Amino acid sequence: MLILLVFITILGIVLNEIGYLAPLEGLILRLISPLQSRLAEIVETSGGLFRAARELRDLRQRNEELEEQYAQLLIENVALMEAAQENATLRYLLNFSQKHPGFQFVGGEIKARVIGRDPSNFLRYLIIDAGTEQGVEKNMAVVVPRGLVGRVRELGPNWAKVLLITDPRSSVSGLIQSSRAAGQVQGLVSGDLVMKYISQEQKINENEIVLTSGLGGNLPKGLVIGQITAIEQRDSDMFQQATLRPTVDFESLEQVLVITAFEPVDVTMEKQETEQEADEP
Amino acid sequence: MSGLSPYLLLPLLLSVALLQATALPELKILGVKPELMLLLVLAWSLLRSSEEGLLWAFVGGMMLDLFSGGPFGTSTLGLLVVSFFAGLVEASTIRASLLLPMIAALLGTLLYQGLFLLIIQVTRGNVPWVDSLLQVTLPSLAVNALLMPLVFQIAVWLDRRVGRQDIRW
Repeated sequence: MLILLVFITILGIVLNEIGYLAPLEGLILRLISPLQSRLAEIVETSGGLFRAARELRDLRQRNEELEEQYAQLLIENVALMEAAQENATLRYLLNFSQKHPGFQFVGGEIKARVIGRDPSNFLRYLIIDAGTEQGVEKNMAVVVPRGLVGRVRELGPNWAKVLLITDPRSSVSGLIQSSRAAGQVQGLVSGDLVMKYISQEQKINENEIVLTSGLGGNLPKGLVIGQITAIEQRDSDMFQQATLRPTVDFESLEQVLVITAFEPVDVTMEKQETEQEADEP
Repeated sequence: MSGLSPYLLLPLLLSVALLQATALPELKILGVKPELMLLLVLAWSLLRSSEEGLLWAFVGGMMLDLFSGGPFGTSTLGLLVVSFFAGLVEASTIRASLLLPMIAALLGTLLYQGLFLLIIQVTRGNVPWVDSLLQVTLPSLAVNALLMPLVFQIAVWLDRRVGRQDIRW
């Protein structure tokens, strides 16, 4: 019997990897997702019960207030710094605004509720209650006001599985806000992030904010990813790398936004921009 | 058929899978989610025959895989192997002391998570082995071993209430 069941399972893994199981999986999840959604509601409502066991109420309230303030300040700070950076760049590129109209968030976002998480301790996925029927497509960015959450990897009519940026198999093109140093942001098992392949010539500092670079065309430019907490720089290495703390609290996510429309980064403009910045004394 | 009617088995395992995907992430201990399905399948395989355990492992694993973003079948394969080995243990031996189910939980967790990572490595690549073993498997061993006596007692209670029947394939 073991051999039969193992054979069926391995066959399932192979069929799933080549995409043949998706309709069946979609059908079952479509049937189950209302139940899961209801359970998520119950868990959400009774969430205080779980958390009360771990935290004192006052401490939690204070913590939430501070976190809210921090998030607000961070967002304002990011917006201000981005504006300053944009102004500086505008001096070199008069037609910047025409070529970089920003994200088309208005009318291009879908609100979704988190109805589940990956049951495994090794994978970091969210299940949200929006799918193809709501206009969600594969690889769309999922965000909250604090920053980037992840990307849609699998989806059905009324559900989607979102790979979080903290999963070790996630990789996002990042940009350090002040130095404009580029790199690749990957997830760590600990839940933090690491930004790899940063040029040794770039001077980077702790507490700097890392944003999406928009390169690759899958994600909008300028979404907050995290804040640098540590830098690893060795002269013998070809690149330096930085550890980041994500700005999003992935444990308490309840609502997310799926970005359906944004202006992709014009790579030729980006190159011009970088070259002109390098020429500047 | 299984000793437990499919009308009970399916909702029971679906509830456990839903609980693991929806409520347990809220209840992290030492930074990891308790693996309730693994413990339940392990306990049932220890108490009943290997065949009944395999059926639970197959159905329970499929349900976990539905909620997972990983390759479909990863949890199923891990649970099947764990259940097979657990089924080889004599049930009367395991009932003798609560320490034995805890040891079984330790070994079962190690085997299950090892296989899980191996399948992820083969299908998706990029598994940080050392970090995964130190930061996930190590705390999971402690959490699952400590929870096992509770899950085992529930399984013993269920075992007493459910009659034994032969499984025909």
